Amino acid sequence: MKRLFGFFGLFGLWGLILFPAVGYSEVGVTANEIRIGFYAPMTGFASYFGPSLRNGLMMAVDEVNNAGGIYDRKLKVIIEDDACDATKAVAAAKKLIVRDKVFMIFGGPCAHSVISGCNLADEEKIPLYVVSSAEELVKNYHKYCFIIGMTTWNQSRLMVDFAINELKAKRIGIVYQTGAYGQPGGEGFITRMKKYGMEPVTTVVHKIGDTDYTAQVLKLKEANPDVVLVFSYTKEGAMIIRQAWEKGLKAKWVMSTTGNIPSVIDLATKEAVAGRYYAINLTLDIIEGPKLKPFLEIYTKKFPADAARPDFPNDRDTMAYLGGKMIIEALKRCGKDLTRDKFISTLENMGEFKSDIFPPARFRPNDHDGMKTTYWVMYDENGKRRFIDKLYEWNEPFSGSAGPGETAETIKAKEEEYYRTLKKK
Amino acid sequence: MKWTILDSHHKIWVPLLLVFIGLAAIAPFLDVYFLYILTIVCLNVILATGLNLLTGYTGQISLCHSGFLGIGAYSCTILMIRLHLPYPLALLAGGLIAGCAGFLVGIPALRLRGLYLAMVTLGFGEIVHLVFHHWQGLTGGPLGLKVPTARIGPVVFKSELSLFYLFLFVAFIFVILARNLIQSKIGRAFRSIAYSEIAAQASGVDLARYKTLSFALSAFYAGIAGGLYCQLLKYLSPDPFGLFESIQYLTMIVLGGMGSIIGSVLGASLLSILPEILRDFKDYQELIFSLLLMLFILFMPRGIYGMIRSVFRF
Amino acid sequence: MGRGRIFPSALFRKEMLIQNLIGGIQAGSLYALVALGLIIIFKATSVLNFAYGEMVMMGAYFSLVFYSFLHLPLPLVFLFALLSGTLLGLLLERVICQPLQRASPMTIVIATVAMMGILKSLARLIWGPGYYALPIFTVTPFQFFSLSLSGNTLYTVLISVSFMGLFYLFFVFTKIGKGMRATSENPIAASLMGVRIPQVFFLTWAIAGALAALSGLLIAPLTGVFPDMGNISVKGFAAGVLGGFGSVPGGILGGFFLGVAESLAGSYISTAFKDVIAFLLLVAVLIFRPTGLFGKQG
Repeated sequence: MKRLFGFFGLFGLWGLILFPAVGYSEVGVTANEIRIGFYAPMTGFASYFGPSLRNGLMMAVDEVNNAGGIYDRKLKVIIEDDACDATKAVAAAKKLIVRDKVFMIFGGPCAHSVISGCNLADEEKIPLYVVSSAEELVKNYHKYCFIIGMTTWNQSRLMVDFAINELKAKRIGIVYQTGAYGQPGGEGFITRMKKYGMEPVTTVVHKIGDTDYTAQVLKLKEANPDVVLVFSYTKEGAMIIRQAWEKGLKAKWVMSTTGNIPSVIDLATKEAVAGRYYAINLTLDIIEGPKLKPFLEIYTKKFPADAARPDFPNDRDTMAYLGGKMIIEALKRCGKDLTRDKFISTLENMGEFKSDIFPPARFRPNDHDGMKTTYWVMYDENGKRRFIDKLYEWNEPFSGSAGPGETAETIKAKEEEYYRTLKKK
Repeated sequence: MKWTILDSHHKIWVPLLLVFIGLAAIAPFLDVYFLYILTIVCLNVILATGLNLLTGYTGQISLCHSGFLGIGAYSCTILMIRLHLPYPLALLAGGLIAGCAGFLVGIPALRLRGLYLAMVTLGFGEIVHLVFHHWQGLTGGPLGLKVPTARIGPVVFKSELSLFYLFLFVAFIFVILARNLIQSKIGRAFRSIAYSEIAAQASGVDLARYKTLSFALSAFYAGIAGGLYCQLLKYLSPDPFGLFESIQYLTMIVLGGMGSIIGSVLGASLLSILPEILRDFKDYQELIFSLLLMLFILFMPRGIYGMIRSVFRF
Repeated sequence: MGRGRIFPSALFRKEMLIQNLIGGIQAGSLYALVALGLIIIFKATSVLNFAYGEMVMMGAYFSLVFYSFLHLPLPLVFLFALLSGTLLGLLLERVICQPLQRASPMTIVIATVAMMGILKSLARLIWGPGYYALPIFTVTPFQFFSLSLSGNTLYTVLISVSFMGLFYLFFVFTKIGKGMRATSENPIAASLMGVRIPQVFFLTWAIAGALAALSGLLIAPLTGVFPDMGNISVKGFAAGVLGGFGSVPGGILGGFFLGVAESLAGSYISTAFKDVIAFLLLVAVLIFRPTGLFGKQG
């Protein structure tokens, strides 16, 4: 009897010693705070992304902080700049990890910044949640990196599906921008068209910052496509469309998310796009539509200066908001003892995350690419933007993201093999 | 163009050695972020010193040094990946290949001065940048290239600390090398060219030989820096090798003091650390950085070291 | 299945050539305008003005403010934009040239680099990092047989060529213009002949500033207004040197030459080549004929 009592007493004593340590054993987590690091281009040529990502995240963060936080812990976001440069991104990330001792990092969207950040995250074993379209991030498996895109991989393939199924395209021309954004998109177009046994009637390439597209437009005109798929930045895409129209090319245009900017019509001109322009629209409505009105109202109140600028908010803002909400949900589900590993497995196993502005987003243990569904936007005959309520979802038996043990080469081979067998049938 | 050579007769051995030993000693106690920044400083010191050899000491302007940096970085990486060369060899080879490129650029430079020299180097730099971007079979293009981790013997350069020691050591060697070069016959030839090409020729200096040599050496330095650079992120993309970056390197030596090794070190250090210090200014970082640069230039037209010299009158 | 080509081969090839030439002339007229501003500053004051592209960018923003925010009529937009550009040029002259008169050329170059950064970051802070459209010309294309010529192209080329022509007349035939030319050839001799050098500097930067604003105003309808517009100055430099940086007509012709060369290279060789041809030509010209294709020899 005495022995039993002694045994339990000893056990209890251990518990008393260990218990206080358990709640605070993770970096970036204290009794009343969870620190989240943030890096994005706040200065430099890509600085229209940074404030969007920050504002979206802060909207989600302020929401939860005003409601009392997560288990009495308020979220604190520490903002750093990466100027869209990989070296600076790593400097920012290292500062956040070592000096600010953050629990996790939220970042985006420049491809090289997020890839370098991801390599660092794997080394330092810190979760990295990225808003970016860089498919390279998930083409090899990284335990600590998550992406909400939509990745160029998914965008390009769904754009092909849309063009063929919705626009009944028979002759597809493709335009893409050289660089980490456009190139995977262009390759995605070509690969996906194999499913339908099609090839682009022409492939046209340009560089970021080009202003004269005569050569490209003439090439397009010669090939005479009925639909042109474009994977470029906003300005460049708009300029191509306008110059093509000036030279007499009459085709329909489908652009990636960069084309979902309301002022495209100003640069491309109304005559060129009215009734013939479509773009990926990731949210459940267009930004000026009724379903996004609550978001827009809160955004305008919180960030009046940014909201006054043209094309704010845009899908970077909404995507960052979604990212913030997903992170918060995962943090909540972890309970009071929060660890990085627990956070990761919660994100992976959370299932579908529903929100009022996006179709469901979802991670899986072998798939850290959270966004595979999209809607569409178009300019109608009067040049007004209209939401197209057609949901396109990626549901093939393979995806652009690698699980543990897979690599970029294996998933590419899987896709090509799938199309080959389809062809045989 | 006539520059004043600021420190050809100064003894910089001792202070430099002290700094080197000091940094090496405290390094294990510094955090990963601090070490990363210091590593970048060492990198830029090598680059700036090499550039100063060309622009400060020989009076020839170069707007393509980021191109040489890139040639060194890509050569080193590709040699490691394709030919499985060990790192020290690949590093050296990268430097030599960049040096050859420098030599090639030096040839048209023989007939050109001032603006025209600047433009031919600009043209060369842009061509190299575009080649990195478009020749995907070789460089991986804009999607980038993964760089194998360097190892020398049993030492694997994976940790920030090990990388820092590597960079520090190479920087020290190359700065001392530059020092010796400046005080040698070659250095004197360089300086005479900067002062007056006609006078140099009159005293028997073979302009062609020394001008191209100065380009080659300067590019060699940049190439070595490139071979180191690729280890920084273990990931290479064409983006950091453009005109804007070349202008940054030129800014380093003008700010620090042209025609001065100490100036190169000071300028490189300042311009590497300043952006990190300015982080707290958030959205205003860019503006404040440029304003500071403008103030520095207006009040210290001969660079920091030039200012130090005139203040302390030596 | 799909339809075949609309145009028969031979006719299409001819059309393609003409379209390329037109596109090249449009781009070239803008390069030429930028080259002109760079050249006059260099010739008269020996300054390599790396901030010129940003002066162009500011010109575009001034135009945006006058046209889209203040809704002024187009002629006033032109006038005010040119005036603002002139003032900016004068400001830069005071801030950079005056204090650094005795400094080495490299120092002055870095000062212009600093100014480039200041202007760019100011633009970003004031107007934000996104782009604004500036649709000041109607875009409805004119149909010329089977060719399409947009209003934009026509106005851009006409206006830039007119201003370049005006400037050339000023430069060659007026007393002040002759003073500027004398200063750039030999400042000492010029001042001995009674040319007031400070006045020449003043005037040069003022005119260059106005030209920059005009360039911005003409480029903006094509590309939109955004803080990184200044990158065109690199092509402007290349065009100027190609043509002959020592001479005003040389530089202008260089601009047109580069525009057309790029256009043709893009169509007939490859779009990737289009990027690089400007710099290949630049290097080639500098090696074989440093005074430029159209410049004076020696």
